[in-house]
Amino acid sequence: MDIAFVAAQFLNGLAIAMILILIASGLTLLLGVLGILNFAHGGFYMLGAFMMFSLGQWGLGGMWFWVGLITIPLALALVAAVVEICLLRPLYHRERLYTLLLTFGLAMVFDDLALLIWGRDFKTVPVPELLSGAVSIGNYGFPLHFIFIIVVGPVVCALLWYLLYRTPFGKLIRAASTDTEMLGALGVNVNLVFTGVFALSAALAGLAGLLVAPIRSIVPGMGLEIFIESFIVVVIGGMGSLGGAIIGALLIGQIKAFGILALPNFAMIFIYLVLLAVLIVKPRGLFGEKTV
Amino acid sequence: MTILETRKLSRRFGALNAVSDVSLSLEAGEVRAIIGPNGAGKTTLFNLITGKLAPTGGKVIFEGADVTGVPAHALVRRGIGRSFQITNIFPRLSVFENILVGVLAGRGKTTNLFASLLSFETEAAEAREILDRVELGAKAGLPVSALSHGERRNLELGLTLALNPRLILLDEPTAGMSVEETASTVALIRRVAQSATVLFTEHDMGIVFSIADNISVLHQGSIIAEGTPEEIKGNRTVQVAYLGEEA
Amino acid sequence: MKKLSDAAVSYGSRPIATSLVNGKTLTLAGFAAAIAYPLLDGNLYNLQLFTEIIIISLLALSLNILIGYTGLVSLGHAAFLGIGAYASTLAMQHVYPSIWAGLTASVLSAGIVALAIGVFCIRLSGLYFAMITLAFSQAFYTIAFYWDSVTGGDDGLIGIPRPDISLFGLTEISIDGFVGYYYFTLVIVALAAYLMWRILNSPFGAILKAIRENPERVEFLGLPVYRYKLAAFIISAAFGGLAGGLFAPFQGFISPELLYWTKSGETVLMTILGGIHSFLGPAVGATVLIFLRDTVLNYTEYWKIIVGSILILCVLFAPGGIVGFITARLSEIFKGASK
Repeated sequence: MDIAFVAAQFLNGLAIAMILILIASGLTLLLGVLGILNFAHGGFYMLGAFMMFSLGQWGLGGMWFWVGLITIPLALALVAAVVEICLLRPLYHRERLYTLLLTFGLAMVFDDLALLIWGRDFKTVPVPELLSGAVSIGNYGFPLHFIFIIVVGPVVCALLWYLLYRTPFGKLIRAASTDTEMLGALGVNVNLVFTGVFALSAALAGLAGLLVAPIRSIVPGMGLEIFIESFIVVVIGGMGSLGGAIIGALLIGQIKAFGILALPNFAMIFIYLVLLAVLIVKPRGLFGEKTV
Repeated sequence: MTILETRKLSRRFGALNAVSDVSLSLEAGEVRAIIGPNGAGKTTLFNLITGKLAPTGGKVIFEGADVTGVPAHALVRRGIGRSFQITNIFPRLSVFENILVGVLAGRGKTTNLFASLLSFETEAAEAREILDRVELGAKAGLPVSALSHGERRNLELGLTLALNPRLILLDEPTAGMSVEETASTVALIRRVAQSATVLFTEHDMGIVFSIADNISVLHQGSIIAEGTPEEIKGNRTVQVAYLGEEA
Repeated sequence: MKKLSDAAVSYGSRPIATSLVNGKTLTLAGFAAAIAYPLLDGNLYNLQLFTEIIIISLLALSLNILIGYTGLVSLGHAAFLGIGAYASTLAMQHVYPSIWAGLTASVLSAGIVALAIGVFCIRLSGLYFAMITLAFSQAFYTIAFYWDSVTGGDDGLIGIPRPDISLFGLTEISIDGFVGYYYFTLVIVALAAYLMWRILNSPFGAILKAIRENPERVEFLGLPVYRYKLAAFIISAAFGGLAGGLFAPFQGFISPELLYWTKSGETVLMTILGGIHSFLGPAVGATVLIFLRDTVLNYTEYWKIIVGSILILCVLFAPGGIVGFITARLSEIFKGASK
């Protein structure tokens, strides 16, 4: 194993981590603000990838990827807003587990819906022309698209940070995560905050989905797969902590990238081992403060 | 015989000394009231004694043994029972089931997986007896939701009694009760006190003076006076610090 | 915030529900009907459907030990169905060709796995418990899928036998036929259900219910809540494993599909659909859902859309399940009649 190979593999892990960050940050926001675990969260990721596939089919004069980069997250945000208003809102006064069951049902519907619309066979999306090159690291060519993902991750994180800590809406979101009732009492439309956060989380998941579309096969099961991985990220990082989720994602990304070399089909096992270790040593996650 | 002793018991929350250097000593069979204005540290003191909170300083001695730092559920097994300020029962079990669960837990019968609940006749009889003691005998079969607020507090007291504690801590036992409910609860505490040591907090001075053998006055986390009801009534410090404010 | 278990109460009138659905008479009548059924209907397809219903009912009942009685929502229960199925198959094919060896292996392996992962899962509560059970079940799915040399990978294992059972060494009974296996399943599941019922109505079961209601207070009764939850988790898994042990010889082949998350989802739906507040409610849910699947699959392959939509509708409109719903209507009628 030479240095260049290790470097390439490290970058690979970084790209995986960026995708996980996009998913896990949405998951963390939902847990923190709405107090729900959205089972259908991975569904938005899957839909993002499938929608990118359709755009790729249409071509749009070679601009399909860039059009999708903007429109797919927006479209999914819209879908998510409708879902939140129609299905989740009636359940907030009930126990959170009902919401879990509802989103569980939703995840099943999403999976079959994708089959219904896009059919059963594996889908692939070409790498967009602009990103189809490779950067050479020693003897290895590292795909440009991975670099793009590694760049987009921190940019989105920075935007998210700006949204949360520098805008009035972000202030409301953070306030809602500490005390929803108080916020309501102050005359803030809490429903709107909830809808906004749900839509935002779906947009982030959709973004992750469209980013990975060109580098993997697209199947309905991919939503649940990423959902479980990012949930583990959230548990390892500390439930409710955005910073913890980022560090958890970076950790899991590397474990996946290097674990695959050791046990190609069972890289997941390393992730579970880390999860178990964290649960034994720090049941609330590495950076968790809140009582679960 | 001294049943409970605290030695310089303290608990800080950041800069706040919620309880500082509290030294109490309860004789077995005594009924002791802890009084003091809101925020005096009564609930914190209870949490320290029952093991729900760890003290930042001092010791708790129960029946001659140092029990500082012993977890709450283990203290329950040793004989310290507690009734809560917020009614804390099993809402969707029946009144009888609530108490039966307590009795079974108290007798260590809860690891039995296969025997029918109906076969525990001794325990069931004890549960009925406890229900009679807390004046809920006639409501045994009802769901908890059918009970009034006062009855739920009595049920909770019954749940505590089911474990046969030798020391019972009652946190504001009459809070939120109607006049009749209060009277019956006072009578109930008197009866309970015949078989156990009682340490309680209460806002209503009339109740305190009528049931307590001795009173400790807690003010800003410290004991400022201690004595019989008569002594406390005549104590100048107390009048200034506490009663005076209300008068 | 309301508890999941509030749902049935909001329908009111629990005593009627309990006497109607848990009533000895109704249960015995159902059992008698189940015994008589193969004599009345010679249709082997239906008989197989009923065999499946009986096995999956056991799975749903075992899940309800957690959901309805202990207040723990597990989303990975199918893992134990799968583990039981694989364990019994491997035991019968490689260790000893007896159905008893298979069933013993299924119960033990599911129980041991539950102990191993329960030690971690039980540390988490509520949503996190739900999620982590799902995560573990998917891990087992992955193992079943890729561990070719043992599990047969994607293709699974085939040629699962239904060995004759020996009755005290006196006589051999064949359970290889549809009718034989139906009766065998019926007897085993009835015994298992009775055992479960005994456990849930024991002092231990009463503590589980108390934990569902108010775990903090149980701690203040001097009991270690963690160990009780862990015990419930293991018991639930062991019965789930038994369902798997029965299922493998029933189907004759097994594949990783058995452990897939949607299978867990179906089991949760059966439990909720039937109603988590009556002992036999989940069996009602299993019956309804399997019949529904059988019908729906004639028209469309998109079964998950149907299951998912029913789950959504159920959560929104009938959180007490079918049994709770019917009970509520019945109690309205009873109230009307008594006026």
